[in-house]
Amino acid sequence: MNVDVPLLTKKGLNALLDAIEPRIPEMHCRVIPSSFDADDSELRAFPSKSDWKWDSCQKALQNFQTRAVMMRLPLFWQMESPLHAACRSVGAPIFINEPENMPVGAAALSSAEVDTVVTEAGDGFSFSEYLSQKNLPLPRNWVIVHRSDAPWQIPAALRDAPEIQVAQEVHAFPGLPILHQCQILARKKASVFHVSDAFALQHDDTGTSITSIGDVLLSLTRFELPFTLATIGTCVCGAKTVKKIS
Amino acid sequence: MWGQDGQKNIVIDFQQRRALVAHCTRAGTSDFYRDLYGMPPGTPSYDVPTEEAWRALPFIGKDELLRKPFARRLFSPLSEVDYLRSTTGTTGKSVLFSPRTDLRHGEYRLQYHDFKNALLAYTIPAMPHWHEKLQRSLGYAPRVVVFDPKRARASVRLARSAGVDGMSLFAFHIPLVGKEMEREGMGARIRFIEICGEACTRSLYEYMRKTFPNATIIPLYGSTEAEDSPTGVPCRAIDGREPLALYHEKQSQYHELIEPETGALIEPRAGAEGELVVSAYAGEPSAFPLIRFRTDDIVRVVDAHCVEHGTWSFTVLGRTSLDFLRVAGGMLRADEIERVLRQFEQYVSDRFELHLTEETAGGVPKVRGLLYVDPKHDVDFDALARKIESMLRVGPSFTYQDGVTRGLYMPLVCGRLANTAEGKKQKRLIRD
Repeated sequence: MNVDVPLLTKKGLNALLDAIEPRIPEMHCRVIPSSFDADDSELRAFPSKSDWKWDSCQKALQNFQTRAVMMRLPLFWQMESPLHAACRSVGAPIFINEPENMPVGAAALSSAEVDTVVTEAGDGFSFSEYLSQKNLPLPRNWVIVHRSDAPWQIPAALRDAPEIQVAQEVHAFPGLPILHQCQILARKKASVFHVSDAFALQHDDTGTSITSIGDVLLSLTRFELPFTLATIGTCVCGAKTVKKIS
Repeated sequence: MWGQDGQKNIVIDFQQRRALVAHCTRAGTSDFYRDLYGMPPGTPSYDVPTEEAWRALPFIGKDELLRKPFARRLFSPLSEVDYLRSTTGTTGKSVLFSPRTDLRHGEYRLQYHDFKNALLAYTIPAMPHWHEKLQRSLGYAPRVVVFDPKRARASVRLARSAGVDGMSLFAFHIPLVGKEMEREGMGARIRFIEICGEACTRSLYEYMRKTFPNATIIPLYGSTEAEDSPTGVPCRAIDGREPLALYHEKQSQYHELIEPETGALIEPRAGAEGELVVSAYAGEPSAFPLIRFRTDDIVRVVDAHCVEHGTWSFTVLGRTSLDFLRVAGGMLRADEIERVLRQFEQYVSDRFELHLTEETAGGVPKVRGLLYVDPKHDVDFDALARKIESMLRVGPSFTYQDGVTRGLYMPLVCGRLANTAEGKKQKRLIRD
């Protein structure tokens, strides 16, 4: 990577998205929000290929041997269709439970064969706490999506229960996974990740940035991340492992 | 899955219904209907040799579905189930989960829209991935922007960027979306609106006509329990003629009309009213074929024989009983109103009738609650209304008063409940 290429900041990305927006309808693509915050006045539409597959989630569902999946991600994240495709690939039905409706989510776990929850980390805390308060068993499998701009933590109730499997990933913004865990890392339930195959990671004295690899509609070059990563080793699976250091 | 031949409606005939009963009662499948029909283990499939025998089959309702655990209701392996639908769970009754495979027989929608461009869609009436499957089957890129009612502005912002020109939403979402689309200056771009949920009111229709002048508007009538959705296919677009929403049965369904109190069959003559009973089976794969399901919906027959569609057409009048009414921001629940009224027991009993009407204010249709209460002595209805609306929860942390403040509802009005027989339980929700 040519380090002379300037960092792409959030502001720079917004300018790029503003320039590309008039062409989006002709790009025959899906769009995802460029911010986790629905009230963010800087929220833009980020174009993504219409056949994009959520591979990291699909692999997690496969490893879990999932029976049925409950999606509790906010609907505006635009993840229903990619998650449905991941569910079909492992033969699991999908159930959409809006995060605000925890009673129905709890009922799905007890009476609709749902054994896997796909949700955002904050909701992972709220929903697991809700279930615990109601003395309901926690689901066996969780896919937890961390926001790039928030702490990467999982509830102690999930971390400390050996029977509960958790696969964590980090998204740059909703629907853009940049870090994920293989089955081996997931088992450790730690904040250690692999970098997504769709990105190359750069560390320098300005921090950590990513650059898109492969066939994408909008390539990110040296996109500045709101955290700093360090490469800490190599996993048994053969891929390098990274950890947030600030 | 999708055809474009526009063929006339061919509903399930008697022999198909007979085969359906046999199919659903064969040994080795879900025992739901075998138990319902009192069939001992090991007996062969149930036979309905005549229409009379068909009419003797028991009805099913939500209670019968709830009695059988989800896994034992499945007529296909869980791995073949595409998605699950649920009832809302806010009525105090158990939540019912309905399994669904692929939706079929939706080709009627192609008369109204080409689905070439991006669509803004909620998860009901159809899941976003279903709309995308339709787009793919037509040779177009799958492009759906999922509408998040709690985050309407962000959803509409994405819709504008994606070039959305159609929508598939609940009726009560429309003013919310309309407001945001007006802000984004994209109302004129919308060419297609599919609405479901509540009946389309005249004021909502007029609002849509004004806000989305180029849209073809169609209604969709369905129920959570029917895998083979929708239950009612629009006879025509909503174009101002009354009744605004006019339906006929889907080709893979059989509809009956009954007297809700007695269950007696009603002849579907023009003007007849009764509860709609649905049998629905789109073929395999099917997670739960429906035989004689009581929808709880009262319908009125408009044409005994719709010339264009070959069957009777109907309009939906409302529910036989309601535990809640959906409104923007959440639900108005009977048990919640009762809870609030009990806070004022020195003034009123917990009997009530809530009428939900729609009024246009500032060019936007807004709901107004008219709460008729049973005063124990003279009360200041206006002051009572203000107190009730500040306590009446529409969502977990959202009161009716919050809705008024945010411009979603008109202020609540209280009035005196008409006299009924002394002691008679009266707790009703009515959408006028």
